[in-house]
Amino acid sequence: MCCAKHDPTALDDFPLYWTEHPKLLKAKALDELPPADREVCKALAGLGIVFDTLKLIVCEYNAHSLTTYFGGETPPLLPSVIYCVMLIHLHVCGFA
Amino acid sequence: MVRPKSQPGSPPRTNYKAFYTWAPDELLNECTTLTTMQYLENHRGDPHLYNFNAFSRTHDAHISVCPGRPGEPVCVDDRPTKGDPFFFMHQTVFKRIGVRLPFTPFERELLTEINTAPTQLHPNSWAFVRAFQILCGYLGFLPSVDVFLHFFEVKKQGKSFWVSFSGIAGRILLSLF
Repeated sequence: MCCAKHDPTALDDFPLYWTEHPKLLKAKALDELPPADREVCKALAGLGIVFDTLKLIVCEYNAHSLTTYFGGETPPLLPSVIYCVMLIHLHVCGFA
Repeated sequence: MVRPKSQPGSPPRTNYKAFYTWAPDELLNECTTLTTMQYLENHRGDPHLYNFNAFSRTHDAHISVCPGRPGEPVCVDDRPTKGDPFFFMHQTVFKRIGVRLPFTPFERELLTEINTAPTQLHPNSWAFVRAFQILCGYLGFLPSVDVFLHFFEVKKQGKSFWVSFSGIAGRILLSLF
């Protein structure tokens, strides 16, 4: 992941300061989600994997390690093309 | 902690309770130990913090990192700086979890949705936020707040003043950090 571009409106409504009343939200049910998000949730659940949070973070800046973490497989939802996009992304950010 | 470069004076330490009447004493006692420029400078050579552009150089004109004032609780707002925006951030969120500034649109939208300040979210939950974005990037879709909040709910544990994300039984996506 790289930094986002500067957005002068980014602070609008953003809770910079400690809030007395954070929203304690229950998890959203599938039928509360827009159709596109619903499909993503189904796809993620369909993988049947509990991903290792620490390993994902450690692999973040190393596309090779991330591929290794996923067992040498190309991404399961959208093969090969997406992997290339990520490499370009990292290169642009100076991490490749 | 991130502040604008100008720093007007702050209210005296003894006034914090009066300024933030809603804050429990435990929260008012949560203060940064990074209170000198020398301490911050000592971290500039830390590869975990800076070699991966923790703070994008292109944003230097908009963001600066400053030491906190001794005894200043993390729940203070911009009243001490007379409207100049700033926020606190736990060092470990940059150092171990890899959060970068400025926040991604997903991070901004998520924190806004749950009305929670960056330092109010428990660092372990920041790990979920980062890992989810990495996962989405790898799998090829944009991270969505709605999708994230399908797999996690927002909780405060007991009398804790931290806000945390908690996985949902039967749809655990990410392991504990």
